[in-house]
Amino acid sequence: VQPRLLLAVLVYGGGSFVQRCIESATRVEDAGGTVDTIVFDDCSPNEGWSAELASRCEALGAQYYRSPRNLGIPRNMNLAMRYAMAAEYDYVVLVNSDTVLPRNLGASMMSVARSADDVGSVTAWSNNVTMFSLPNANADRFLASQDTVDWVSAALADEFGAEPVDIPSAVGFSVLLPVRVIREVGLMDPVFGRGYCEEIDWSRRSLARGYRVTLAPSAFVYHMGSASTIETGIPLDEHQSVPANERLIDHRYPNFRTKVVEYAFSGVTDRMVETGSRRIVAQAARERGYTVEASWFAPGEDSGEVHFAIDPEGQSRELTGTHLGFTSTMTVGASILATLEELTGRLPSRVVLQDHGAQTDALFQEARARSIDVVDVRTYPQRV
Amino acid sequence: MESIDRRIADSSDTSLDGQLDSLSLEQALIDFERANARVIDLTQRLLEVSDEIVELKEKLRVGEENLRIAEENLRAAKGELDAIRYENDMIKSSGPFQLLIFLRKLGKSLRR
Repeated sequence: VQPRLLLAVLVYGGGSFVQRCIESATRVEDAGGTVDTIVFDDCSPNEGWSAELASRCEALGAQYYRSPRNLGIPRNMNLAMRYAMAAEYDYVVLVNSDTVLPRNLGASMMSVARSADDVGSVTAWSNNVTMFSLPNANADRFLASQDTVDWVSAALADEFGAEPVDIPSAVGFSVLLPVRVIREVGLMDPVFGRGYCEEIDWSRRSLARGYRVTLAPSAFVYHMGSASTIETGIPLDEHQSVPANERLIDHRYPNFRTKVVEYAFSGVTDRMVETGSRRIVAQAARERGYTVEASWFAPGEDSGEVHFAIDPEGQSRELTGTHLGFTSTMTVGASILATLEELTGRLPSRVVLQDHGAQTDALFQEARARSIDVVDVRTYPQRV
Repeated sequence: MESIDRRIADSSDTSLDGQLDSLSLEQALIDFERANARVIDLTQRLLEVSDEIVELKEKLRVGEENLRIAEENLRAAKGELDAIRYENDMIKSSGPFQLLIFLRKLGKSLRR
């Protein structure tokens, strides 16, 4: 049976970012099933803008619905979940409109959902997904494009496959829910008003029924974060949340914060970040070539090139790779270039010597021995 | 509201708008019923808690009154004690008492 997936894009204003989200949603590959995109406009304040959005959706092949009254995030989610049940979809993905979705979103999230019968929700990975984030130096600059998100997500899918990672709570910015699980667990609780923390409540209810709350490291979504909420002026605390809703979670689930702390100390996200960042940097270097620098200073925000930097003296034996704002640190073996060749399957296109040191000299010798272009910009004497 | 009325009236609409209007309305009614049930439940609990607060306040008032009486009794007892101590000190410093003490010490030393 071919799975049917509903992509529900939840919109409330957001003229500067909604269109690229909807465009990305309409490009999500069906992966052997069907993927339908519906934009749930929660009665955005500017009716004229909503009318334009409806036209753009039609042009892009997405369906559009404007609620006659503002529902708030949880009830807008519920409308999407109810429609998914009524129209007999197999899965629904609830998506914030300040995101860019990868083409492999449906395939990756569904493969995680189907990896075990007890998977009750699958949250996408992202640069901005609370404590589970894959850190990026400047996500808005590097990641807010379809091609980049597609490439990063494909690289991570190759690395992690259909592996689900158990987390304490789903994050509603981009979460897949199997419809059969919704039928059992129910909808989001409207008590959470305009939103925030409703997915924590839903996650804890699903866990109580024996379902796993998981994250798919193989589906990477760019996420601005709180864009619609900030645009509408809803006050958030320093953790980008609504304190009244957090108090409700504390009241209902007194051990939730302990679970979060336990997860934080488990090192699961740290290992995932390390593996994912290394994969991205190594794969980019393999496909696009790279530069190695011996420099006391890490390269600045890179422009899409792949950089590796080593400590000129070699005391730390650390090699730091950067690409598109992602950073990966690894240990250098006996030979710098052999370590990089093993990691990337190729030699660097050039070696840049910025600062003096024992490891700079070793790198220089290795580069000359392998006939690699060397750029020596050491403009000061060895002893300063 | 006009558009809602129009949409509710046209419940046979099978378009996406029609289906979602219908679902949204149905869910709104469910949410209303649930919210109403919560209000009834919370009102009941509020009344129970209010009764409990009144009861506890009365207990507190009685307790405070008992405490006030006990403090008064304590003050009176302390006054009596102070008076007895004063009387005791007066007796101990009086000439006959001092003479008696002297005679007892003298008697003890003569017995040795």
